Amino acid sequence: MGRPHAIRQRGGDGGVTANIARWPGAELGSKDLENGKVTTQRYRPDAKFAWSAGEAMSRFLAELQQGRLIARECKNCGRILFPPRMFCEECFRPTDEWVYVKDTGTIETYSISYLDTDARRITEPILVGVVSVDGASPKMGIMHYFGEMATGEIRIGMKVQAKWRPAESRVGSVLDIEYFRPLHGVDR
Amino acid sequence: MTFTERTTDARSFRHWPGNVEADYIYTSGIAGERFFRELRDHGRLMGTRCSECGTQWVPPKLFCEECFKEVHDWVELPREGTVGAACIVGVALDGSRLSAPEAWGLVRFAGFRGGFVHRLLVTPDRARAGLRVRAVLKPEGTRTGAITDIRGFSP
Repeated sequence: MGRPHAIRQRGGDGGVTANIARWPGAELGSKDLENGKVTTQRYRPDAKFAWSAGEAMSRFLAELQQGRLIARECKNCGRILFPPRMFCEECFRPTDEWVYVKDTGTIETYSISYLDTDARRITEPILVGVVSVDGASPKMGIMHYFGEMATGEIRIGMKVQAKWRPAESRVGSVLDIEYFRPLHGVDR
Repeated sequence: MTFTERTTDARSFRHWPGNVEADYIYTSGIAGERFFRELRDHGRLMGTRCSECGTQWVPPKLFCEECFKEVHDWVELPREGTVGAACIVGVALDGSRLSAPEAWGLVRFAGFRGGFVHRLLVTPDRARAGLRVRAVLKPEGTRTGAITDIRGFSP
């Protein structure tokens, strides 16, 4: 049968479970294991791994360290893919060229989060969202933090610019950009 | 295009090393617990005996496969066992080369179903099926209640 109520539909298990007076074995807590109440085998597998960012993302991260944003262009459909990808999923062919894009963009969507990255409640909210980057194809961008703006100020369509960390403290991470801040009165 | 200009040196890629923390503590269970306590505290190797069909099990089982009955009776193994199969091992558990090859084998006991896969304390050229062997235990007080309390089986 295999359905959740199979036993009930068959008329129960005949009280078999209720008739078991003594379950064998002993209940063990973590203290019992620490104190050696029972014999145990302990093992720590040596399961090392290296997670690679791959061709496109490795270059992307290296360029971030230099304070630049890079994308890939597909000559077939003309799209500028950002973050860069080595393969165009529209044309089903490899992308062709590396192109730099600007560190300015537009807020596509955002959240005002009262939970931090460990899901703890916080009183000062974090602003996060997606920025579509100028120079890349429409709606292409990355998720990041927003700063130097009030919670009431943030809106979809707002022009923003990357606030870079100082060159010496950049490590080749997406956090080499501290956050995106409002781009006031600058002609694009 | 891009496939020909691809990086062939994987070390040039950004990567993050890590270690999967898959630690575990495996408890011996009811029969295993008694087996390892007997081994650790009294230096005895024990099996179980089905009161229904008389089949004797080693390592000890709590249920008889033959009659599907719970097994209660405990019996000590004979002092001597027989190597059922042997092989020469050149690689350690972690995949590294052993400095000297070791002999390992399946040790069976007369009247018992089952046996132990364990180290044979003989030079590889002497390891063969049919060899009469006896368990060599660690000294009392150094035993921890694990299968490694048996150093190996020696002729």
